[in-house]
Amino acid sequence: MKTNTSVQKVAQCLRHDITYGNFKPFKHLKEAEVAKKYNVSRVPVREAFRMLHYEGYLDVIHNKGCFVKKISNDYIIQTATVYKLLVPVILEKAIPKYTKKTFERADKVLNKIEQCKNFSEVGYLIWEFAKIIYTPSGMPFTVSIFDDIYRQSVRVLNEFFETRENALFKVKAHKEFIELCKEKKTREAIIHWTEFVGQMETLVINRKDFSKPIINKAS
Amino acid sequence: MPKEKKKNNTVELIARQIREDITKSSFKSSQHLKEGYFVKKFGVSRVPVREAFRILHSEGYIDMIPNKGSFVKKITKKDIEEIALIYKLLAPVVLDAAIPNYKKSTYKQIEEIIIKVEHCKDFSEVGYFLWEFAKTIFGPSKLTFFLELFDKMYRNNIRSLNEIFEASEHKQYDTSDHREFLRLCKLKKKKEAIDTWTKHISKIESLNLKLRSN
Repeated sequence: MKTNTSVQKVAQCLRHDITYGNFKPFKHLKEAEVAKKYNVSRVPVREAFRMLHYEGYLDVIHNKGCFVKKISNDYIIQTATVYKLLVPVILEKAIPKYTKKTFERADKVLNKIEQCKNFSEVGYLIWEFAKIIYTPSGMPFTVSIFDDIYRQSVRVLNEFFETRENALFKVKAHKEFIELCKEKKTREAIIHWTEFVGQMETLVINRKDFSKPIINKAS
Repeated sequence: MPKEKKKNNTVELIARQIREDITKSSFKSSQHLKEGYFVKKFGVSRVPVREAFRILHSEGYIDMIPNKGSFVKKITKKDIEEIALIYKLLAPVVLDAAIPNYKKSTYKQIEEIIIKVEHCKDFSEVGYFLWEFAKTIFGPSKLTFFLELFDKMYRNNIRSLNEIFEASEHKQYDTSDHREFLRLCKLKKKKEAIDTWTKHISKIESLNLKLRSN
């Protein structure tokens, strides 16, 4: 995401302050105050608000202003339910259409995620990975639903990987999924991915577990 | 009901005319719709034409391609099958949560919308009534994310629903499944009600596919 640097700076600071609880849920964020705090003009603040609203960090209420959003478990459960219902259907259509290029692109994004040190980029990279594995399905409406889900989850994913003990994101489950696809084991790949999504959901909901190592206990 | 209608009559007039021309195949699939043509035809500025295009885009009538213009949307067999597949997967989950929350007022609302659909003579309104029906039966689930998703699905398929009505005999939308659904809900037969609705989705799918094959 290459945008204006002062916008990026403000967005970054806001994400950090929200993730670490310096700004509590429902706090009213005023443009002028934020501009003063980060020593910038109001223009980039407005743009950063727009970005963070898009990523699920802020609620924008018409004629009232911007507020730190409280992530509700109910919403996470709903998006996970939709996700789990749709994943088998879309992957069944998508996996047989993967080409060499698909695998190359997937590997590239996974490498990027592994090397990513900036937690506010992880969410976008994981979303990019999702686009690579779902788009070949040729199901544009379903792909757009996944886009909606990921867009709303950028914050959840960012925070998930930031607050884990090891801030570097492990993409073990993703790599295993890609390996199974390469071996043409479509059914196994789908089961593997659905299980992973279920584990993610549980971990995200039980936020206190954030400090524990991620999934795949067996390995 | 479509808010746009009250906002601007010129816009709605243009939108209505284009809907009709698309439905009756006066405009063919993938045909380029030029703003200038409608500006001349209706003797208006570009502003209401553009607004009408926007409405038709949201209803699934046209594709708007940046730097290229607006085109009559081509609805493929694959598109129809995809929507039906997704709808059939998600509807049972939402209805399962919604039906136990129905109150007397919900039944009354459902009944009223069915009557509206049955009395509707204007093909470009029927899609909106059916969307309203969907909101009423799914809304009590309070599953906001699912509801947003269904809203998007209905909005993008207003055209298909309108066209099924237009192609129906005696210009009457068949509400027998809607009535059966309501009857079963009142009898607290949740499972049967959900079955009825799932079958209804398949029925709409095959009507839609038949329409596209001609």
